[in-house]
Amino acid sequence: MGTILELRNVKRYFGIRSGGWMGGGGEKPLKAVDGASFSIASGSSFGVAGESGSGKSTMGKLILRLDRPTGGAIEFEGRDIGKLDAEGDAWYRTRVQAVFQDASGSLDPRMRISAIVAEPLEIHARTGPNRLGKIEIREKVEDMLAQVGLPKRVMDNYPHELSGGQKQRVAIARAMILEPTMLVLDEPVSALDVSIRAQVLNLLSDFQDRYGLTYLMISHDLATLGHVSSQLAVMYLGRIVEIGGTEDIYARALHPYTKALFRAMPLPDPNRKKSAPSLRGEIGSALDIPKGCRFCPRCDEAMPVCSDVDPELVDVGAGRRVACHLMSGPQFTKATHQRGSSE
Amino acid sequence: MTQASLLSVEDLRTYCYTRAGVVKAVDGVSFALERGDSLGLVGESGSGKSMTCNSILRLLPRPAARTVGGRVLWEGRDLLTLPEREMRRVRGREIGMILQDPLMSLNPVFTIGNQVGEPFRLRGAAKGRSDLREKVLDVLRQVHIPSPEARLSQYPFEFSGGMRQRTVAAIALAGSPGLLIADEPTTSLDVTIQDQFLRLLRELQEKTGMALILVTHDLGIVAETCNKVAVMYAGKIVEFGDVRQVLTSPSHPYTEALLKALPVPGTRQRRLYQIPGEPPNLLDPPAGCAFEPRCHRAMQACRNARPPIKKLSDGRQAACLALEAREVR
Ligand SMILES: Nc1ncnc2c1ncn2[C@@H]1O[C@H](COP(=O)(O)OP(=O)(O)OP(=O)(O)O)[C@@H](O)[C@H]1O
Ligand SMILES: Nc1ncnc2c1ncn2[C@@H]1O[C@H](COP(=O)(O)OP(=O)(O)O)[C@@H](O)[C@H]1O
Ligand code: SF4
Ligand code: SF4
Ligand SMILES: [Mg+2]
Ligand SMILES: [Mg+2]
Repeated sequence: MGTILELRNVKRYFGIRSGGWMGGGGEKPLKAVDGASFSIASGSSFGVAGESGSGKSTMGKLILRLDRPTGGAIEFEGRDIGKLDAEGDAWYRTRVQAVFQDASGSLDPRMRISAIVAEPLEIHARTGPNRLGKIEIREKVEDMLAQVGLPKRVMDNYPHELSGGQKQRVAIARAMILEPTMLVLDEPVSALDVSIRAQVLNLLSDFQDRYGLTYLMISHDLATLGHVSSQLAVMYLGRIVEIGGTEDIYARALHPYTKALFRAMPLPDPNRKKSAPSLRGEIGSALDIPKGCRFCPRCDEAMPVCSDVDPELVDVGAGRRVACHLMSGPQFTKATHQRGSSE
Repeated sequence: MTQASLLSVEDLRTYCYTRAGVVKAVDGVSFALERGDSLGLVGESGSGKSMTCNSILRLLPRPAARTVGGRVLWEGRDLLTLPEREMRRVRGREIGMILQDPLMSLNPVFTIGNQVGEPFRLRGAAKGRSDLREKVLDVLRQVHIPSPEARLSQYPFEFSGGMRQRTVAAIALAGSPGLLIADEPTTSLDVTIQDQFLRLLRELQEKTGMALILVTHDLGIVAETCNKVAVMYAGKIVEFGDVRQVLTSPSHPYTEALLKALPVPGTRQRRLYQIPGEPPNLLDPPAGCAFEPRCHRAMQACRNARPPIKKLSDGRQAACLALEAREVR
């Protein structure tokens, strides 16, 4: 599997230019994404976790080209998406599509379902090279609605006439109509009930099997990400603090923040006892990132070095990278050694 | 007869009158709570969880919704027939409430100190300004608001979501209620902040013996917070019992399906168990069991009449014909 998407030290700072939204220059920048580097293998599912305000959606928007990075580069299928011309832009829109949490917000309430799903095709038919006729477009829309499990009759409905789960299926149909190779899914099932959530997650997994799609799924729900993704990145205040194979991270989280997220996750097991205390405090402001390790003010394993030195994201073996001083000290090297020899 | 329960809801019926017809949002709900109990009220969106709570508190949207039957016995009195003046004393003093959106329960133009002090003032529970201040600081400390002295003069917009929800809890607790009704209090919070808040609720319950009704659609939250659970579907409780019992061996097909549909963290299965279809349209519900169109155990008889909720031999209650048949055998 080759790499389909690569981020290299991507940054998105807000309010750094004078006359920006905060008004006046000289203000401190708000570091929404503060140096993200990772790559996604073609056909895989990549999950992004973290509390609200950690920068997940901002990163999603940068990848979707709904926003521009203030630093670093994003490459998709080998092309730098910051340097696309008009034709490249049209190409990118056929390759990468989005599904957001709030389907009602992203579906135009005045348009019928058929028009909503057809719209990307029609825009593309006007600008792109492969023009489609009215009948072909209608056939494609019907086929796509069938693929997402919606009956033909919803074509003439308006979004408000559909349930939450149906609206999310429409959003997926619209995203899939141009046959993209990658979907960016920002909290796609967070607003759905358990029974409907399972239906939509199964639908996404069917599409992936059928078309070899690549997914980048953003969610604050570790159970959903654990089910969907093969690779997982955990973000905190604009940084990726842990990244690796999802199953490995579930089996043994290394970063104190990842561990705290797992501890907080409610499980439907009445026999589980929560012994460790919950994570203290709250995620700070991206305007005022702590010196040293940004997680330090909430970390129960903090050491003196942590409030001084910002830990780098370092490779700790087995495809895992972690940004924490605990992982670079001698005690850790010993621990991995022991683990390696006992296996 | 055994001693009366702290709260006993009997055959509660609340209907919504819409232009398209009548919706039986709460359709014969019964349950009882004792001191210190913590009941998880779960179910899909629209199943009637909020309507049940709002009926108990008599906070229904008027004139759209009306309670048309049943009794809500609270410490011996039927809340449904109480004069509004007395009901106002019950709300916020004997029964506290926390709603889903903390911003809706806080007034943006008053300071935090002012709003948390309100229940004490109303009750005349404070002797003078400094005593009131002490009482307010005390409840803010109880809900773990950091440096409460500095927070008294702040406004809700200066608080984070988690702090706002804790402030709402502080207001609810200021009356030392015997029951707290919390309708999805953590839905808008991060899991970490949710964890903090749920631990706070448990801690307060342990300290005061207060009973709790917690509305949620997260069975994980129920497992961690509650000792009893009521599963609602289309306006009715379909299974009620001890949390351990219901979550480890669900008996109603809907409860069973809900648990099976959850992604299991750490095990990357390809497909999740999927409940077919969607919840029924309450304007035109099925004639028989409301879950019948989606049920993997449905029989012909299920289409004829809605099964009543019955006590099973293991002590829990469930509304399902297949279970009744099994019990008889
Ligand atoms: N003001 C209203 N007018 C008419 N119908 C209403 C009104 N409020 C609620 N309903 C209906 O009553 C039923 C139960 O609603 P309720 O709000 O109790 O559901 P819920 O279980 O709390 O759902 P959620 O999980 O979405 O909060 C639904 O069918 C709903 O559409
Ligand atoms: N357009 C914007 N202008 C200024 N700040 C923003 C903007 N979009 C996001 N932010 C800030 O960037 C940070 C990360 O936000 P976001 O990416 O939405 O996080 P998440 O999706 O993880 O909740 C937050 O502090 C947020 O307030
Ligand atoms: S670097 Fe230090 S403060 Fe940061 S997560 Fe690791 S131990 Fe905690
Ligand atoms: S009564 Fe019948 S349809 Fe309803 S839950 Fe039981 S078996 Fe299923
Ligand atoms: Mg977001
Ligand atoms: Mg509700």
